[in-house]
Amino acid sequence: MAHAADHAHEEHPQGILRWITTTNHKDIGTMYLVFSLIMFFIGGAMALVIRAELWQPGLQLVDPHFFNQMTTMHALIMVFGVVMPAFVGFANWMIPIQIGGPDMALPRMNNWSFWILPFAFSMLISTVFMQKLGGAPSGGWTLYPPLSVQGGIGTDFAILSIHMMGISSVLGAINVIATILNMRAPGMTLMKMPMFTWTWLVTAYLLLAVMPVLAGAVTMLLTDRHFGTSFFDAAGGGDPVLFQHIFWFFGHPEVYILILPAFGLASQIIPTFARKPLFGYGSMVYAVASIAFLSFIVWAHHMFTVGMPIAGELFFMYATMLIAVPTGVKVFNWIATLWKGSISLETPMLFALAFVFLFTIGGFSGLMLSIVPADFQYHDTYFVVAHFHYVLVPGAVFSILGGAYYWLPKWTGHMYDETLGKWHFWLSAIGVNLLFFPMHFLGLAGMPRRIPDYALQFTEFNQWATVGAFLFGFAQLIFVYVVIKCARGGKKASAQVWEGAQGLEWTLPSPPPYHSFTVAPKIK
Amino acid sequence: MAKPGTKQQAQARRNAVRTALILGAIALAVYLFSIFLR
Repeated sequence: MAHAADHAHEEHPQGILRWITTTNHKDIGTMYLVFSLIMFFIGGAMALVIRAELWQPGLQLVDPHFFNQMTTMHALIMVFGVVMPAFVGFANWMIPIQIGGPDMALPRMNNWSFWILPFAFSMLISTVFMQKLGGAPSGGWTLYPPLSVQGGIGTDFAILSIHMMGISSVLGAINVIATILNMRAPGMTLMKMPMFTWTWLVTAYLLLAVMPVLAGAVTMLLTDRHFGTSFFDAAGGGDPVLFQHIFWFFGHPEVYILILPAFGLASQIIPTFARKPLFGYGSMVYAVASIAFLSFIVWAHHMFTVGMPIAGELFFMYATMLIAVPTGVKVFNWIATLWKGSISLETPMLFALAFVFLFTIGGFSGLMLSIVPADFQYHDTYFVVAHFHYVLVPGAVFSILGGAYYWLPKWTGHMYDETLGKWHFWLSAIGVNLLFFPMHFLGLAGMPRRIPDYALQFTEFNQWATVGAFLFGFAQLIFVYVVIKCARGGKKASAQVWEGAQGLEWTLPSPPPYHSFTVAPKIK
Repeated sequence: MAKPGTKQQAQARRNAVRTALILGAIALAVYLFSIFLR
């Protein structure tokens, strides 16, 4: 009887209908991850257009308007289409398993959250093919007015698609919170939850608090553009700087939305391959919560140069510097976890260690930028580009790649090709540093961001960056090959997969059954 | 999470829906607040 019921539980549509109608957290997680990978190559191709144009001074490949479309679209796609969906994919796959639940709390809403995204991004990307109507949005991903109020029809497409992405993110965040608060196995108290689930709980609250603010900002842009309002139009009594305040009230917590789950992934991988429990679990949880709180009171450090009262500049400078404290706690805890550990360097660990080291470089350049008088010099230069790419690429993206290698054997039931994984890591690590490290020097020497042409003295560093970009892009093709090869077959993975791994996901077979825990596991 | 088909599970599901409705209302309030507080 019980067996028959289990069997009925496993039945689900096959083929394309399975993916369209699925309410299963693993299927939806897989779709998010595949979607994110596709977007990674689209956004990456745009980055390569940018880097190819910047190979030498002068205009060679694209006209400046198209170049601006590429910088804008690259950013929108990478932020909303790659990093966020990748983390949501991990969340869908792992949170129900890590807390000992059967699925997400609201599975049908989960399906809807995902299926909004392909439509939102199709609409956004379609604007690249509307060059006669002004093309894609080109005023930067921050959509600052007056440029965004004056832009062509592409800006309207972007506004609608950002609303859709916002709905998708808010629904996803609600689902994560409802799942974690209501679906935990008996005995799985909050302070026993794995760090990845913890970071996602905090991230979900951030999403819930700030995505509606972005939606509000772009709604006002829309009404300014088409319905006669003047929220941001100085001629009608509005203020363009108001948009910057609203945008960055969303934008800074957004930075942590993009990095907190990365912290969670590093906190899963490092203890596994150091064969030691995570050092300072409690302090890690409080550090994540502190970072989330501080993220709400630092937004104006993105706009020091607009002209603020000195007291405001000082407040935002000191508040920003304060974030280094909980972030430092996390970095020291990861290092203390490694201390006297029995360390082995499989691909996930390589990515996690590179994450700790290279993310910290991005953190330090962030501290430099937080200093008001220094920021006046760095603002809108390549130094800023170097800073946030260090945080986002060897930061967020490396953690995603590390997390993918870490759980691929669990997801597919097969071990991935370790040799190719290591090739992927080393080519990525060399490529990413060659790509972004010279940008610090370009910025300090005064090269402005978002320009298709530059002065002659910047040529060499730009050429290094372009070589690094193509190397990094090539390395990601190896990743695709590894993933496909692993999904299709290979050495069978055991349930435990990694010797030092702890947590409920390793108690399930690899791959886990279609419904993870239909009977709640016992938590020690 | 309680066993499937039990009263506890139905209760957990109701709790999840209630959590979602409260959070959805908060998100909507933040959206409207960010527009109308001008």
